[in-house]
Amino acid sequence: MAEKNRFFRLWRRGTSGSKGAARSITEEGALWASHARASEEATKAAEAAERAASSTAKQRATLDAGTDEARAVSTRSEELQRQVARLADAFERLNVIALNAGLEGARLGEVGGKALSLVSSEVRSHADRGVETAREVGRTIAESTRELATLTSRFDEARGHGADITQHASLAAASAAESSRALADLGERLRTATGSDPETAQAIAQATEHARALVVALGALSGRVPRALLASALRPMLEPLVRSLIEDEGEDEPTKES
Amino acid sequence: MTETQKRGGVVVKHGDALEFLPASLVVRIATCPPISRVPGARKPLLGITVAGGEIVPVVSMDGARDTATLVVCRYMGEPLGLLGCEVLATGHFDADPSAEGVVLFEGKTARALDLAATFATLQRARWALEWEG
Repeated sequence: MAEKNRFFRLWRRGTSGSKGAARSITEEGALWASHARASEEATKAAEAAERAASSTAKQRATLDAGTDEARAVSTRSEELQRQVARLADAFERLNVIALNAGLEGARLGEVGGKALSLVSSEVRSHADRGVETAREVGRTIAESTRELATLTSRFDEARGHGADITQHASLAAASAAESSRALADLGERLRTATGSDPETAQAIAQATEHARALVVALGALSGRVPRALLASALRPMLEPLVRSLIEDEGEDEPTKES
Repeated sequence: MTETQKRGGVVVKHGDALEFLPASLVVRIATCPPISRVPGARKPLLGITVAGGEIVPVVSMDGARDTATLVVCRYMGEPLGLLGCEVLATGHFDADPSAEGVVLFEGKTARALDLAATFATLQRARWALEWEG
């Protein structure tokens, strides 16, 4: 009963002849609607911040894995470089052996040592190519190792940015949570200040709209339908409402004074 | 038709010039082993090393580039290691008929490396070491 009275009291404020009172209830409805929107957006912001933090954590894990892999490849490259250096050294030694074979060929004389000299020359040319190729491979690997080092540092940089994003996302989440709390508090204060709540405000706004529509409809019928006929048709529905409004107004008076 | 005379030996690059060492003077070509410095030794004597099981004094050639290859020679029965020559080739080379001890390598002349002068420099360094020591 008290709830019903409160509704009628508020509704009467909305439908009374005073434009100020009507505006006030409309403003209240708009205020509650804004409050609801703000609350919804704060919740969305909190969820988005949470999702951003989660995505950043995933990104960080991916970057960590990438960095580990790049470091492993870098380590393997260094090992590969050492192996290539050993290969180049082996070719150089082969070159020296070929030179000594040529020297032995030279000692054996032009005829006797010709075959040895030819083999020596052939082995030397291959050994030279081997040294050159091994050095080239070594240079390429060194270059790749340098690029890997750059990549690793870029990964580290990206991880740093990721940490910044995580921090900002946490701050955003905290701000969104704080906004939600502030909006809840605002809602409570609004409820206390206006004596209404979002649902009631919405219901009053709708009832006010319907009442206005009824008044407009009755205005349109005015003069066209006999008044007595109209009154007999509307009385069963409107009489309890009017009685209720009058009763409520009577109850409302001392409250106004207090 | 006269046949070109051939000479067996080693062609090295010393500075910008090509030089020739006859096969009779060269014992072996080796990847340079570690050299032990000799206290008081002066240039061009770098120190001593072991090559082919014997102790070899190592001499640095002027304008040296390649320090990885050691050319071990024997002059007057004494071993001598030359460091800094870039060994270009070994084998038989056409002798230059116009000059004694000169060979042709890839169209260029390679004069005979003056091992006697190098040996004399080494001997002077050795004597200086003994006198000062």
